[in-house]
Amino acid sequence: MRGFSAIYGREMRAYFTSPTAYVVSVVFLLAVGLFFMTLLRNYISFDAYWRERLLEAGREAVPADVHQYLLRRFISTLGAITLFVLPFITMGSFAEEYRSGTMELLLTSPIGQRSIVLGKFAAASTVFTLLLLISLGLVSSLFLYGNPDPTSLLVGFVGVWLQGESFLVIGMFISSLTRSQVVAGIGGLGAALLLWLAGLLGDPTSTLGIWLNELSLVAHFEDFSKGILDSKHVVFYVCFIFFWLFLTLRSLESLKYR
Amino acid sequence: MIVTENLTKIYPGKRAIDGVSFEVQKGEIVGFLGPNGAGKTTTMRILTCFQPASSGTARVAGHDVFEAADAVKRNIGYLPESPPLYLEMRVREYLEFVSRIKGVPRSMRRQRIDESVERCGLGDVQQRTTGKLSKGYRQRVGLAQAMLHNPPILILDEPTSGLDPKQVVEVRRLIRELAGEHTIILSTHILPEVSMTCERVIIINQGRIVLSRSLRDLDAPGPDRESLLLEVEASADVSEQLTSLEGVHSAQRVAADGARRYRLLCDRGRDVRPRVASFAVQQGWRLLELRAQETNLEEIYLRVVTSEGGVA
Ligand SMILES: Nc1ncnc2c1ncn2[C@@H]1O[C@H](COP(=O)(O)OP(=O)(O)OP(=O)(O)O)[C@@H](O)[C@H]1O
Ligand SMILES: [Mg+2]
Repeated sequence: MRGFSAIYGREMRAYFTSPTAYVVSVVFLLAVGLFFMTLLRNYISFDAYWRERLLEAGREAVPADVHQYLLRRFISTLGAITLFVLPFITMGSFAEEYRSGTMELLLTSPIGQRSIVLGKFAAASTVFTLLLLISLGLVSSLFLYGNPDPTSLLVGFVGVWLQGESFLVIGMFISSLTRSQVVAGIGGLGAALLLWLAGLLGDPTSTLGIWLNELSLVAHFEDFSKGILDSKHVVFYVCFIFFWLFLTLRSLESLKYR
Repeated sequence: MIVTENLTKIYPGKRAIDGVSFEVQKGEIVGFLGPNGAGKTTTMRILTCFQPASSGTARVAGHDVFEAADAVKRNIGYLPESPPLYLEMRVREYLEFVSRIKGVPRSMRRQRIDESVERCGLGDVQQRTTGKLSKGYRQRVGLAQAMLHNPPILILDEPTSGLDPKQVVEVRRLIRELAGEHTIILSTHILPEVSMTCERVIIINQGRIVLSRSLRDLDAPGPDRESLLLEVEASADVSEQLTSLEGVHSAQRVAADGARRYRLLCDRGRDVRPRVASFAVQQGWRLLELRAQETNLEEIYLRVVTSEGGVA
């Protein structure tokens, strides 16, 4: 792992000095904020309606379930937002190095290619984790006004995190195939979308359809958004991430032969 | 320090280099000369382990570029065709990054960076962002990057391309300064560059080495000979009389038109011009020109590159 910390440090510095990362972060947080506000507003009006109906039925007026009617929806939305934003964090990771010729510097230095891939992944992942922590802070404002279940909230965020890391590795892989950031960004989004919704590709009653559904990212995400932590899904995401990291490494090695 | 044997690189549908074999001794400074597309960059990329060869072997600092890539990378400094800069970084920051990936020990970094900065004349721009530097300064940062870990071998791909004449002179001076402690191989398609900076030239054309010779040998036709150019007005061919002169080994007519121009091979270090001049007067020829002739690199380059086979 020689060179890992140097690569990681440089990537982090690049994220903090490049306008792209700022724009992407602002868009992400803006989307998160807007959707959270909208969902919260929906929840409040639903809650009023719910209590009314309970009173009409002569029952005690308890608030509508925050997790069911607010957080679960928010977590699903957050998952979708990451899909559309994260490819633009990773789009430059290799494409830009190819274009500017700095790949020649990295590959003629005595560092392992694994350090290059992992350093870049760790940096992208750090940025994403920071964005997610900020979002978590936003949602935690709910604790000021009520007492939602913190465990299911955290489980939901773990799900978003794991799924988001998967988007990051897909984006990195696509970026390792091209010299163009634009191609990498849009291609990464397309690839992530495809793997997210792979289940839609097949007839859900056929064997192929079942397999495709098992392989799609969103299928493993649902339980998290319900607040259920199932190790099966964690294992799936971890394997998924390693698989794409491995492919990225291979892609980098094959560069020599291209 | 560098030995290659039959290096061949085949891109899909294109033989970029074909059976390239050469050697570079320790401390030598070798110019890799060839027109565009000759295969200079391809060869250098193989030597720096950036790309593997399709066949053939290369050893750099005693290590095989394919089997012991890491050891090779430690021993080389490489300036690619376009300087590999991260345009958002400051010069000093960039050099710090490079020193880390090149494996310079922490305690040495500062000193190494200071030294490269000074040698490449970057003192004033250390805190500038590389993206805002002029092409010449970027090239210098590229050079600083290549020599940063003080590698015994420097591989420089067109180190003066894109520079203004003054910067070209500076970079050449810098390269010559480095020559003492380093083995240097530099590529160029500019002739004077080779004669001004290198000790030996390897001419490559269409992927093949067509000539590899020390510049000293090029300037003279043989180790103990030098050549004179003589032009006289005479009624008949005079090469025989010239050859009979003491110190002159041969006289070759070199003009295609009617002029009597001769190339004389003479003993090196023994100036025979006065003798030739008085001989001409004595014979009643009219002396038009008499000068020491350097075998011109340009002449050889053009001949080598335009003739298909080459002269090896
Ligand atoms: N990645 C590649 N794919 C296909 N062909 C290539 C590739 N890289 C180089 N070539 C071809 O190989 C040949 C040699 O190229 P190379 O870059 O080594 O030349 P060069 O001597 O460095 O030329 P220049 O002076 O223009 O830099 C050229 O004909 C080039 O078109
Ligand atoms: Mg070149």
